[in-house]
Amino acid sequence: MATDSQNLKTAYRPTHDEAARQAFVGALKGYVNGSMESQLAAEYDNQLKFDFMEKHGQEPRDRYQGTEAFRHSHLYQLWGSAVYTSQNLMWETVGDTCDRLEPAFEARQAMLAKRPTLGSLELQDDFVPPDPIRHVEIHRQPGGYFGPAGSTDLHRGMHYFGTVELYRNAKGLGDGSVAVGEPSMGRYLLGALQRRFDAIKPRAVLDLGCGPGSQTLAYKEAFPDAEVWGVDLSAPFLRFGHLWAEDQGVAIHFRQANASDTGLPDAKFDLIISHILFHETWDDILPAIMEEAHRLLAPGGIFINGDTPYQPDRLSIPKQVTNHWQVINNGEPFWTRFADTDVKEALIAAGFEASNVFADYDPLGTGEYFIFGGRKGT
Amino acid sequence: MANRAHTKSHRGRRLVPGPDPRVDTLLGMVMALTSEVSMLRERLDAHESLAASGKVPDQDAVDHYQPTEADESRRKQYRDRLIDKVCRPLVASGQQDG
Ligand SMILES: C[S@@+](CC[C@H](N)C(=O)[O-])C[C@H]1O[C@@H](n2cnc3c(N)ncnc32)[C@H](O)[C@@H]1O
Repeated sequence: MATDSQNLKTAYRPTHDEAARQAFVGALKGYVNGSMESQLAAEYDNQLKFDFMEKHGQEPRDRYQGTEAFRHSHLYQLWGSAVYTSQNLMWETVGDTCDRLEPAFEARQAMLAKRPTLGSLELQDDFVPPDPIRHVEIHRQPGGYFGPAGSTDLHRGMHYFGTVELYRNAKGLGDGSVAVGEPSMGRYLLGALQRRFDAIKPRAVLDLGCGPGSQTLAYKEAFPDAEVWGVDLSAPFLRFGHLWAEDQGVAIHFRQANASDTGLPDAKFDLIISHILFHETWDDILPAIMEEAHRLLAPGGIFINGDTPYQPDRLSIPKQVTNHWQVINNGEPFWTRFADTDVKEALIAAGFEASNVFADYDPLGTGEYFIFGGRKGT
Repeated sequence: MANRAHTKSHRGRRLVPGPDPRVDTLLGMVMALTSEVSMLRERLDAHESLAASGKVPDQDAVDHYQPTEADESRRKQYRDRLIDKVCRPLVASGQQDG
């Protein structure tokens, strides 16, 4: 059992059996997303596509017609059941570790509260996350991201944090070897930044939709002299992020706000980064987030975002169908609307010059990642 | 105090996908059971590794055993084989049908 003096990175270690169960659920999700989805694709190519053509005189053209083609496939239905049950098992399995460790995290929190802080945590007591996001359990995380107002709970943050690498790797969007809490995706995005721009020395960096702040740490690591900020809707995630950062002696300023209305001053930041914010926020607000980023950037400042590479023109019909299924049944309600958005157009509408915006794909693990953003004119 | 948010389960929150909600229930049970089998197999593996290096594989030693890279790759093989075996009927029943 961790004590109140043990740091949390050391404390956050599954027991032998917990690690074995987590490895199992990761492998199971890998099988369902990999092997089973390949079987679905084969069934489509060999049979379902032709059945659909016979009935409708054409191949399925989009996710809706594709779903129609799959509707009566037993394999598709069983695959859905397997995704659903493996997702439940994932939350339960990681939840056991969080339950066991929560008292140690609380003890550490109480101890750190007695010391001066390096960074800061600004929560708003009466903050109500906007519709429709507050009603959604993203990824079907039990209880969702927000929790009741005034709660001091750390569990939601721990639960997301403990699960996210497992989830990412099972989708082939990670490098498979990353320990929980390593800011691997933050470092990856800094690599994406380097591939596009000459070295910068930002005075202030903002992580939009920073969640539990695990990636935010990478920005302070890369730019130790910069003031680093994280903004998110979720109080429990920010509370966890603050604890995690302070515990590691890293100064980060966390603030509860909508990314479209951060309340931070004009031109404060030289670098604004987001990681998997956009596919988890509703698309109506996307233009306002981009305008806010433009407002917050100093002249010459850079806005760079990394997100899922699921634009429909890049995906086969079976992959569009399985993604669409996740949207409806696995807590990804904003995903396809984001995938349908022309982000370059949105960036230009928000004030970035057409010659200064980018949207392309960088290699990641066995696949690719969607990288987009812009540089503010000088 | 742990608030056990995750035990306030997922049930009823979303439309249950699949041919029949009972399939989800049963599959959930099978997956949970398989997860325990996999965990037990890894515990046994830890026992064997400890014993092979002349250590007493008591509960504490197993609980704190850190698998080596060689252990991990062996365990991955068990796991993949187990999953493949348990899921084979699922895939096969899908293929018969269409
Ligand atoms: C998938 S998480 C990503 C968290 C973090 N960037 C990471 O990589 O781990 C998405 C985060 O975006 C936050 N979010 C969604 N919409 C938002 C908005 N409009 N403003 C601020 N945060 C938002 C959610 O609360 C959640 O923490």
